[in-house]
Formats: sequence, C-alpha cells, structure tokens
Amino acid sequence: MTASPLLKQVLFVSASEALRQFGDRVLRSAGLAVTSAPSAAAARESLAARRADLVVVDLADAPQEASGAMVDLLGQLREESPSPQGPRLLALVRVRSADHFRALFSKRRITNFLAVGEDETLEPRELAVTAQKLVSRQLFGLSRYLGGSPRLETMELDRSEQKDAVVDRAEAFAVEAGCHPRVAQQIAIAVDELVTNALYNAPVDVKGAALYAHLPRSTPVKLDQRIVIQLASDPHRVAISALDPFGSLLPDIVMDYLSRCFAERSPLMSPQRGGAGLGLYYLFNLLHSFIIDLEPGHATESIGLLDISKSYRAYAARGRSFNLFVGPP
Amino acid sequence: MNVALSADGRALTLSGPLSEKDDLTRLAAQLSGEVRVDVGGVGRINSAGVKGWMSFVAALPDSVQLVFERCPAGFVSQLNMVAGFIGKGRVASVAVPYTCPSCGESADPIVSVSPLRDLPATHGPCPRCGAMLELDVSPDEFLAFLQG
Repeated sequence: MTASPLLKQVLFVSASEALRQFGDRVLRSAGLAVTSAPSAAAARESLAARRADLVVVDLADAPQEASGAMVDLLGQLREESPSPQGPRLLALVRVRSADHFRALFSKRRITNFLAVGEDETLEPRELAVTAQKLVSRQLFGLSRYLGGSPRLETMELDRSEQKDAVVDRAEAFAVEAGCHPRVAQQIAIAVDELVTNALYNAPVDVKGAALYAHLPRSTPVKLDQRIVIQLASDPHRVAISALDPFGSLLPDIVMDYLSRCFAERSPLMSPQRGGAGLGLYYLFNLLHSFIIDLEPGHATESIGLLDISKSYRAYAARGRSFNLFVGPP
Repeated sequence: MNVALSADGRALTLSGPLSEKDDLTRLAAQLSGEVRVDVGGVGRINSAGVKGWMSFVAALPDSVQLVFERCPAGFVSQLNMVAGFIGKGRVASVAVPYTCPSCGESADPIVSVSPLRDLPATHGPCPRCGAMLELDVSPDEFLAFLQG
C-alpha cells in the first residue's frame, strides 16, 4: 500500500515481527504512515527509496559495547541527520543495566528511547504520543499521555516553603490512584525533585544567567513567576509534571549529567558539580518514563509517568524510558 | 530528620525524611569507634538529602565505623544507586519488603545480611486477610549493594 505523501512517514525497524506489527498498528492509529523493516539492511534500502520523518530502531538486547547492525544503523542515521530536516530517531530498548544506560546517554547520545516490555509491546499511548511529538514538535501537555478523562490536579507555586505541601499531596494522590504506598513514596520523591529543579535550577535572569542554582537547597527562594505542578491519573498510569517559564535547561547538559551519573554512581563528591545533575539521575531512576519538553528561553516541562503498581516489585521491574524533546527557541 | 545519639556516642537513631533541611556534619565529630546506626525510621530521601548525607559521611573521623541496622527499602535504594553512600560503614540488617497480593497489606521483617541469606519468597500469613505475604523486591537487585 502506498502511503499518503501528506502524512508524516515513520520507518519502524525491528527484528521482532510481533513488535513491528504492534508498532504499525499503533502508529497508523495515531495518523502516521508506517513502513516496517526487519533488519538494518532492509531499513537502508527503504530509506534509499523514500524519505522518513521518524525512524524507530529496536536495539533488542544489544550489549552496550556491541556494534550490532541496529546500533550501527542508529549511529549512522544520527551522524547523517543532524539538521532539523533529517529524520528524528527513536530507539527501543530492553536492557536495564546502568552500563547500558550510560552508553545510551554518552556514547550513543540517544535523546529518545522507550522501554519494550517482556510481552514485546510498548505502552501504546506513549509510543503514539512520542512519535507525534518527534515529527510535529508540538511538545507540551501532560494529559495526552493518559487515556479517557484523566483525573487532574494543578498547583502553582513560587516559593520553596510551598514544596512540602505539594510533595505530601503527590504521595496522597498516588495512593488514591491505586499505587502501593511504597510506590507512592517514590512518586512523592520524584515530585520533590521536579519542584526543586524548577525552583532552584530553572530560574535565570534576562541574560540567561542562573539565579539560584548556586544556593544550598535549604536556602529559601521566592520566584517572580510561578511554576505549575500537575498530578494526573487514569486507571493505568500516574503522571506528574513541572512547568517553568524559563526554558533554561540545555540538552547537552542533560545528557552529560545523566551519562556521568551512570558512569560514576557518585556525582556529588565534587562540589562544583551542583545544579540539576543528581536530581535528573534520581528522576530517571524513580520514574518509568522521564520526559523533558524544552522550548529554549521560554519554558521547560518535565513529565514523569508511572504504571499504577500494586507492588514495589512490579514498579521496580518495569523498564525505563527517556525522551528529551526540543522545540524552536 | 530526627537524630538521637546515646550518651556514649555509640548508638545513633535516625528517623524521618532525609532532605535539604538536614545538616549532619556537626554530628560526625560527636561519634567515635563503632557506632550502631538504626535507620529503620528513615522515610523519603531526596537528592539534596543525599548530598548532605555524603558530606556527613566524608566528615567522619577515620576511627569511626558506622554499622547500619534495619535499613528500609528507601535507604537500600541509595546503597544500590549511589557509590560510597555509607563510606567505610557496613550494613548489618535490612527491612525486607513483603506485600500481601490479596489485600495489599505490607510487612518489613528485619533480616541480617551477615552472613548473607537468601530472602524467603514468602513471610507467613497476612495479618489482615490470611493470604501469604510475598517478597516485594527482586532479591538480586535489592541486595546488589552486598556485591560491592
């Protein structure tokens, strides 16, 4: 079947037939045209014949240092398409070791990856939203990651003294949504990190210089503008977000911080390594999906998604996904 | 965080959240020799709290060895996630999470990790509904800190 030239084109590359069929169905339902390829060689043939706006590459179980065909394909595409006109890239991963994540963040510099479940599927709504955001650059919004009519609470704050109440509310919200109390505590800590980042690391002056990043987090701060915290849930997932009006987070810094934290597991022994580094590392580990929407100079939205887990073991066993989206400045 | 130190400086009890509000560095100078540290009541731990905690660990005199008892799951997560989290200290026991698959009731029995034992898959009947409480962590991941 020939895809409409008006639709955004996705090339879905996976050796897993089940995953290709799943991706084809979900992405078509999301209004995207999909071509599938079972191998890196087939993907190269496809790309030679027709353009793609997004290439989804299943890295399968490739060890972090292996130069498998899929890894090579991803690296080649990344080097060949640094311009905004080139295809966006999305990796699918299954491995959960610290070494693997370090390789994703540092050596491969992969800003977008989703975890594949043991049943060879992905969370369908998250796959669809991720693909749409990558091809459209329409970034912001928490509710699109949830189904039906999600329960939503919005809180605005401008002072550090307000943080504790927001964190306590997040823990109670997670319990009300059906999370085990041990999981709810993890969600509360994630909200704590989001709020702290928004209060201390995000604010910049008109020249872009950080206002409070140097301060101990025990020093109270009061912002001129408000940050927005949202808590949301549907029957399957809890979502949290922090939106700040600064857009000061730099993509390279995010990747460097995460890479370094996974490499050293000790990012705090050097006092000059302040800022958001450890908080980002914690957020990645606490959340099933950690998403950063960045419009440089205007806004940063950090989103966390978690499956509603009745047990801590189920929460911990879930793979981790990461997506960093950068819109126009 | 609430801090209670025995008169001889050999027994320390910590409880409550560990956050940016806690400065434990002055406590380091009050400790000597082997100190048993009961962290069973420690709750949420955020990254700012970990930074402060690492300053406390770095400030400990060489003569001090902390022995951590009743480490809850959140504390164990830090052991597994942050290198050098307890410095030269050692862990004597952990609170192992069990959950009832039927009603969600929790229990956290204390298990000695010296010598290391397998974590039992179940922990007796649930006090609320009678179903068997099930181990709520992956043993390998939960005890990864013991591998160095």
